[in-house]
Amino acid sequence: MNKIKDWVSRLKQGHMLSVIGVFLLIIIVLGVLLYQKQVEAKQTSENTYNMAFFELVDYVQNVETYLAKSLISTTPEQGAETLTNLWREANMAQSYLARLPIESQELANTEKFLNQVSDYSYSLSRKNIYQESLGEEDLKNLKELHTYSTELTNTLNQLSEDINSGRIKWGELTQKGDNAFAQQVDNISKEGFSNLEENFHEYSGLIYDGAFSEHLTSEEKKGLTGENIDEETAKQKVQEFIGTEQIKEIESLGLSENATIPAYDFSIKTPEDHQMNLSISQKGGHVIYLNCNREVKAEIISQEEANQKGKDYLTSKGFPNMKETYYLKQDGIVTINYAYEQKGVTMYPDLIKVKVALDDGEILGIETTGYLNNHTNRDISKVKISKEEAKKTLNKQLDIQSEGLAVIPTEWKTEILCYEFKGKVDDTEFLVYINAENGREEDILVIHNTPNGILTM
Amino acid sequence: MKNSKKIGLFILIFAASIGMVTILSSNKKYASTSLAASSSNSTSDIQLMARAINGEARGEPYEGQVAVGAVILNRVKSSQFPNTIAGVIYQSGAFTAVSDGQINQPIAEDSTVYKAARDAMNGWDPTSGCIYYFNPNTATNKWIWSRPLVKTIGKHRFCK
Repeated sequence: MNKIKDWVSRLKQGHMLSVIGVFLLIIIVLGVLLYQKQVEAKQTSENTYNMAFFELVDYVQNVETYLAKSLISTTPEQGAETLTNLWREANMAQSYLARLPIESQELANTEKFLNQVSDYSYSLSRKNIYQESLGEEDLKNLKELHTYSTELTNTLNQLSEDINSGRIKWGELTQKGDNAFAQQVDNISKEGFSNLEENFHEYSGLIYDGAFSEHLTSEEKKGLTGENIDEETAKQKVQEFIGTEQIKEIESLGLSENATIPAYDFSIKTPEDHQMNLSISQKGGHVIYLNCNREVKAEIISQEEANQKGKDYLTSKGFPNMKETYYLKQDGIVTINYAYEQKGVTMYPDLIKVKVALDDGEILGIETTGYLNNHTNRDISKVKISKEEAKKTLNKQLDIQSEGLAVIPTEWKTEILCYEFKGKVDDTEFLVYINAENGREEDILVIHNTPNGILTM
Repeated sequence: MKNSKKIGLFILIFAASIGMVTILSSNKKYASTSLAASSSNSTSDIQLMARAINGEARGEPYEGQVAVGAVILNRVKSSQFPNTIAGVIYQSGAFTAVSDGQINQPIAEDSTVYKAARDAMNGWDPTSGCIYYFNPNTATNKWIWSRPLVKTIGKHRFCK
């Protein structure tokens, strides 16, 4: 006791007490200010999450309504309108779902559901636009989707009650279990969201021609021909492909069985100590990709020379009849797209990309998945309408510069044989694709000529 | 003697208040520096991808950097994830570099992340269709181990 009195009196002597007092005051003021700021920030994020959640609920409810409507609409016009609305609402719902502070795997099925509703309604609305009415199968799918959307709406309403009553707080949801309480809250609300997912347990994915349908990943790879090879043969393929004189060290990284195309991977060091990676398919020993990373300082080679270098390279590697289509130049490296040409018809799905260094023309990379997935000998005899007929459907303002036949891929991973017209309206260049079988305008691309390459949008 | 102490006191209060002001205004300064990070001749998507790769895989081999970019693009294509590059990168809890702000780190002069982002964008996919990856030394999520492994590049395990 005495000691403290003594200490205080000593402090009093040298004004130290007021100094400490002032410091304490400053600390308190600072603390209050920081606390306020923190509360403010927390509130802002809480509000953002709430907004996202309630928007999500609204959009999912709309999805449900439009799905119901789509089941009973009779005319293609009405159907197209409903489905276009459905497509938009499902897209918006997805965008708000992604803003919630919940880890992606918790919501993977919900995301997938919304994605499929969106893709499916899009593909159906296209059907309606061409005056085709929906088939038996389509209606069955829509009905199934409607059932899920009702369940999703119900679960979301339950969750929104939890949020309204304060049982779920987003801030606590984002905090990773630092203390027992947070952990508890975390579990409760996580459960709510897992229930959301459980509704989908029976939902296996639709079989339809939509962009992201399930069976696409297991589809046949038409260009991937040949028998399975072992690792030793794969290594020989690598040595053949890049030439033994270009290999200082070669390291085998083993087989990736779960890859979309099962492959043996190799890591190579060139005599100049550049790192090179190469992937050889297990089936048939095709080169899936090669990539070499090196600095390119100068741009000496012209675009035409680079195109030719790439073409010669492809021919020497067993890819004849490849025609350059687009290119993109960056940091002294140009990436050129080549498409296979069958009797003058450009096969855009059979795509190979080649990277050429613009200082000495060295090939820095090749990527062949497009070619391996799609390349096959196609039937191009299905042309039913003449070029002149196709031309009639074009916009009169289009000043045609070149024309030809081409096979283009669709979002549905099918292919269409088209007339390709390249033309200009004012100063903008366009590519117009007219179906060679039925004369439909399948696609229009805008060409952007930039100093670094040609882009199509 | 007394006077000098009083002056000392004033200096202290003065210094403390300046300190306070700088702490409170530091938020604003931070916001303006992040705007300065822009680079010429690349689209905003490439820039965003490059920043994500920089935050996630700065110290990784080139192949691993392309792979991270490829995973982002595979997610865009996948039905289980958002459909845009920004949507995938900023999805809550998807990438640690976004959660902890490393995505805003400035990109080093000699960094290869731009090149890696472009290669991924041009279709090079060292992961062959993967939508997940993790560092086995730092991963806390047990669920991630249940995904089928495709391959390991550098420190990351890439899976489907």
